[in-house]
Amino acid sequence: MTTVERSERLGDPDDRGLVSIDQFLATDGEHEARLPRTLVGWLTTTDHKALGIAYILTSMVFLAIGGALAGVIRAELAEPGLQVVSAQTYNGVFTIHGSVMVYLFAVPFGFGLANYLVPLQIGAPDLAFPRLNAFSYWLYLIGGAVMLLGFVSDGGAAGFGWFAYPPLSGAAGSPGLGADLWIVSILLTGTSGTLTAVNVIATVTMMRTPGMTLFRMPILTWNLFITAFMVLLAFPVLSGALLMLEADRQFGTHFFDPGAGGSAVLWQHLFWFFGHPEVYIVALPFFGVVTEIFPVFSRRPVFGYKGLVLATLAIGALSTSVWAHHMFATGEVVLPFFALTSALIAVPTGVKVFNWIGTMWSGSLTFEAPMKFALGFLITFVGGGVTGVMLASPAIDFHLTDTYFVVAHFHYVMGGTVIFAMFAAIYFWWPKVTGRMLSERLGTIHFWMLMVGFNMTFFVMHLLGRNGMPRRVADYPSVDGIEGMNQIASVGFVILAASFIPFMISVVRSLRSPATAGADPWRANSLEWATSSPPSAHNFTWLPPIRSERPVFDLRWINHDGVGALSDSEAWRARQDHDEQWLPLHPFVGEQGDEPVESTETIDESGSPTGPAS
Amino acid sequence: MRLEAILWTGVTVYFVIIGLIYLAVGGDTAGVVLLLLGAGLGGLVAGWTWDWGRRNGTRVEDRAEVDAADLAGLVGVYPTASLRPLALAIGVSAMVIGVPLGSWISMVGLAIVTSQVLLLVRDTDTQ
Amino acid sequence: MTARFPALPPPITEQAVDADGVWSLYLWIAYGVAALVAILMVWVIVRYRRRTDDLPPQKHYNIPVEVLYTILPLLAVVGLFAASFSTIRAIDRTEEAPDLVVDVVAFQWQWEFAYPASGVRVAGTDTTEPVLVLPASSTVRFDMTSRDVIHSFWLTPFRFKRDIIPGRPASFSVNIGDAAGSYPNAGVCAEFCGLDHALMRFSLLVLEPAEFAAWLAEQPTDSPVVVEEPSP
Repeated sequence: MTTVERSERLGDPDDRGLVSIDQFLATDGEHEARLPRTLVGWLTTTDHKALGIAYILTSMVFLAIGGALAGVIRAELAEPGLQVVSAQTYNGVFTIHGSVMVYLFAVPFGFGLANYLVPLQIGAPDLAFPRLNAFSYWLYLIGGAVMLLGFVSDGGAAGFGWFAYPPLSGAAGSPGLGADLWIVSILLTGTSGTLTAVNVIATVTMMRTPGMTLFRMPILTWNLFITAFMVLLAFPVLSGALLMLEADRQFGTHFFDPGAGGSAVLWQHLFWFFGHPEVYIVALPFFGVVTEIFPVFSRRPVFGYKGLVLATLAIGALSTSVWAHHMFATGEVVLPFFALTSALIAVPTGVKVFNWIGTMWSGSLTFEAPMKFALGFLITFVGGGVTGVMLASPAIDFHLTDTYFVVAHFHYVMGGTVIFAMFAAIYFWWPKVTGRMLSERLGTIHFWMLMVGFNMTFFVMHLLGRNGMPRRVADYPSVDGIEGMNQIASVGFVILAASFIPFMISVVRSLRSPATAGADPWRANSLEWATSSPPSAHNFTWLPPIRSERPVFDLRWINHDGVGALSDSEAWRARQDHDEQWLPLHPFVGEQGDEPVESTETIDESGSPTGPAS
Repeated sequence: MRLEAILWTGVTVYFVIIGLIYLAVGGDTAGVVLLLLGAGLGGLVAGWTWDWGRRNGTRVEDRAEVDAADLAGLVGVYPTASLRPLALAIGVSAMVIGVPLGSWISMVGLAIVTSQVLLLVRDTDTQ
Repeated sequence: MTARFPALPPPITEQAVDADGVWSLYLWIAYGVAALVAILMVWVIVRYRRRTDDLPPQKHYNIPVEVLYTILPLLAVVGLFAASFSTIRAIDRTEEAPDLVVDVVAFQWQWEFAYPASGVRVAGTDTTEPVLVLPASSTVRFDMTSRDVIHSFWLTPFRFKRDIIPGRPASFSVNIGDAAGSYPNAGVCAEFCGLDHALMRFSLLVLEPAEFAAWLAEQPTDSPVVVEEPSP
């Protein structure tokens, strides 16, 4: 910790007395970032930042694989008939496309965000269980690789869709090894997710820094916390169902075999009891991402913070009681119950949309790349949301379920929102993770290509579905307009895929430039911006006092009465006079090691030692 | 801890209510059981948080007017870099992959898992 | 509608007409909601873009507004649910005493339709799709079974599909209107059922009741008949 002169602390008077975070940070390299530098370092790391980066990089690789498979699908569907692949390969391709995107890209990307950002946002040195965290990452990586092995196994990859309805997914319906590998893969990644959820819940519950009450946590952390609970509820159900399915296939049980007294509908209930919360497990972290971004680029606080938290809780709760709307067409479910709960979920989601708009309302908006992508998220999300309300009505769903209308719907809510919010997150936190900025100009090109490509690919799918094109078909009859619409979608996909080129250029250029972004390039709000970029080992060398959900904002405007959380700047000054206030939080002894991390002895004895591991 | 306890109690109450409603409208058995099990899951955490809060009182994290410095003393013990998580993950994966591919792989996996768990326990016991 | 949905046949059952009514209602509300959000977004983007370096007002909440935009969507979705509720009941209904019963058998990757009252069975061949022949202006019940995996019986002019789950015979009934004509490619298996799922289609031929009775009487009952593909 370097000593900081009082005059520097209170900011540069030319900048209207705004306090800059960089003034508080050590510049002598004492707490420089320590990402592993060797292969062994990466294989053995338990650091939440290294594992967070590993999660995100791995999920991006799976996004590329899933995207390539989507390319095969769009190429095959560009014309009627079978041109590119055989029907069997096609079935494997769309199964693995869906499974990779849902299980290996979207959910783990959220876990990557949780890994990297949750400890930073609540002022903790790491997650609660770092070795468990490393274990879950390796399970995820191995599980993902096992799924792809299906393509080289006898009989090809699993070809029964990402929800694997028996009896088609049973031993008679899918005899190949690919199906078993698929089951094993989901079992491993599901276990990995459950463990990560335990880790996040323990961290958020027990490791918040003093002053970080639950209702001062950033919305992203709230969303990841609620997501973790949903994972805990949903993933074990899936794991159980998968074990039953694998037992049916390998050990001759008959859970789902209707020929021997089993029930194929039981699988659907178990799967969708997992599957619908899963949709929100995918989406909630990204709702959190944009809730971090809108306030920063609007220079406004989150509008209706508690309303947003309650809405997220309501979504989490309701999402566990809507599962059978995926099963309306079976005729085996209580239609009014599920129609009503599914429609009700639109209310908290609508509240979120209006809160986001309320955050921007009468703000001072600028449109840097993260804000562009966040707005893109909002558009695609509303587009997918309104079709979701339509599908919640069985009268409409009977016609549209299992068609391209549903494909369009969930690519808007799970594809578009995830992709847009993911890039919003990458552009937003890139300077924090790397210490460098991404190009604004390339970001703009990237955004518009993605916007055009995405909507071109998926909007026509609504029309295809209403016209009667079922999903999961390698071939379709060449009737009025269907072929043309498919061609629009395929061309759109090319634009969508090409939009990644400017992004990759931007990434390479940025990594070659010097790390000069500084701690707080966006003038943001939450605690991760109160440490250096990239953050030091165990994250913080000091912490500002936390009096609201945006401690960094409060600190920046400390000299302006009535702007930050404390109305009286004299009160802040008075607090600063206690040296303890600005003491380093975690002076570490040497390397990341087994030594206990203790606060310095100069700290007063009033606080009770209630740390998580004490 | 009060707020956490209220939160998890709310989860429990929600699942009891929705489970009973679903039962009343003639829902399927699996769904009713899963919803009530969800209530159990929430209740488990709710009970733990209530009990923890009762035994330990208000934590420094839950007071609005405290600063980082008020949490004096030990804030955490963090593990060294370790190969155990990777080895354990390989072992667990081998155990599961052995089910379709041949039970000898499961045996190897079981051996890895056993050894790594024992080593992990030994690693942890350093104080 | 035809411009946007060129391949979609008109609704030919009372249930399909009802379902299309609900569809139109929801569609216009969806347009309305999307337009509202789009207008609000354009407004904030244009009106509130950064003009000065001043910090805008830091407003954290506005309880009345928040309550308002919670209550209004709540009323809207409950209203929509109520509006579609009676339609749901009307659509999801099985007639005990219909004019005609058709047994539908689904298997990988074909259909077979049987008329149990007369013993006639209709099937496809390796190269031709089966044709479902139905009488106009009558009530028809479908009793459906699957021989292997889950299939789904979907007729686009019915705006309805029902999954056929092995071990669980399923039924539904429709009131076909005065809609004689041929509907090529109107029948689809909508639940993914394996290798040739994409080819598991059938066509629909609706005949006037008298014509239908005559057609049915002509057919042999000893073996499945293959019906000529209705010309588009």
